[in-house]
Amino acid sequence: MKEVILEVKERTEKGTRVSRRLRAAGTIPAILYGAKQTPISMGIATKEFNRVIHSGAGENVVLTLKFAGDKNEAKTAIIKEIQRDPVSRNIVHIDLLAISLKDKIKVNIPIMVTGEAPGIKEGGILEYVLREVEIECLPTHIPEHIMIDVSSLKINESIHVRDLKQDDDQIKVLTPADRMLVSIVPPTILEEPTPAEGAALAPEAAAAAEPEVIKKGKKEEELAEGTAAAPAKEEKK
Amino acid sequence: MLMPKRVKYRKTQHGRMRGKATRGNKVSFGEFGLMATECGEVSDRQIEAARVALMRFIKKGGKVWVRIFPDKPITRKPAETRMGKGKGDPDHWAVVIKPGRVMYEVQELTVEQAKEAMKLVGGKLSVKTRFVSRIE
Repeated sequence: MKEVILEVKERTEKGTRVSRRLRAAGTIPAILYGAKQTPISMGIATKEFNRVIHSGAGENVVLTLKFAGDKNEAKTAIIKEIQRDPVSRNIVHIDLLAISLKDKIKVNIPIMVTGEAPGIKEGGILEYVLREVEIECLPTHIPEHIMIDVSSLKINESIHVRDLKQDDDQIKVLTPADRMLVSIVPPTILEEPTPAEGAALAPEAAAAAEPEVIKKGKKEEELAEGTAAAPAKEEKK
Repeated sequence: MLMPKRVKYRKTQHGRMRGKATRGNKVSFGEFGLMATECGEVSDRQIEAARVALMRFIKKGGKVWVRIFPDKPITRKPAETRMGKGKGDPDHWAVVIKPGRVMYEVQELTVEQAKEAMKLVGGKLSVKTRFVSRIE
């Protein structure tokens, strides 16, 4: 995994209004948390952080955080979560997880597909079932991605987690071995109804114009149950 | 047309459309998608028209996900009726769309093809849309 040095500034002021002011000034509010340490609120320069996540490794980077003003203190962290605005997709907040380079951690690694599958040439579609795999390893051994070779896949064939080849013994895959990663599915063919079929379907469509109302259906059932239970009581008497 | 199989009530109140989409705002299944940038109601007919346009464009080359479902009954009063006398009868079904909602997704298309396909889809819908991809 790529290691990047990032300069951050600790912040004492918290809250919505302060965070908005920070964002307007070109800083993303962030928090650093982890085991054996108190959470630290901080601000990260937007330009600097965008440079890090667009450098090729994406969000899978080990960050060395250098706090402004404190030359000695440096913490190691990974990106836990990036919150984005649903429309503009600008980063709103970052969660950083403090890690130790000596302890193993659990991370999700993206899957990359390589090779040209014969099934795709025959008209099949490559379907991703899982796009990430959970692994456990030391932070220094985290791969940027896991490659899958699909050059032998035909239609209706698939690759599972158990098929992953691991070159590094220090990486342990935690995702269950029987989970499917990718498969080649036959193409779906759009069948348009002929005019005769369309005419035949029209009365059915008219009948199904309104769905069943749950409340009404229940009342009828209760009534039916009530009538069935009444004679039984009379018999007991 | 798309509509629920069972409902609790035949008619609903209008409601308000405030805020942004907090769920369904990411490309989760395919590679590319179409995101709404404004709020509005999308009817069952629009969803179907957009789906048909998309399927005709991609023919058999890709995979499509429709991530919205019309679950809100929209009522209409008959023409030339005086006001009052109760709420109108259910006319069609719609879905309330908020900004940020990813409505359609596609896979197995190139970026150019996906952009062209999503342009066609956006033309069938009554909200402003934007092309989005999985990698941000």
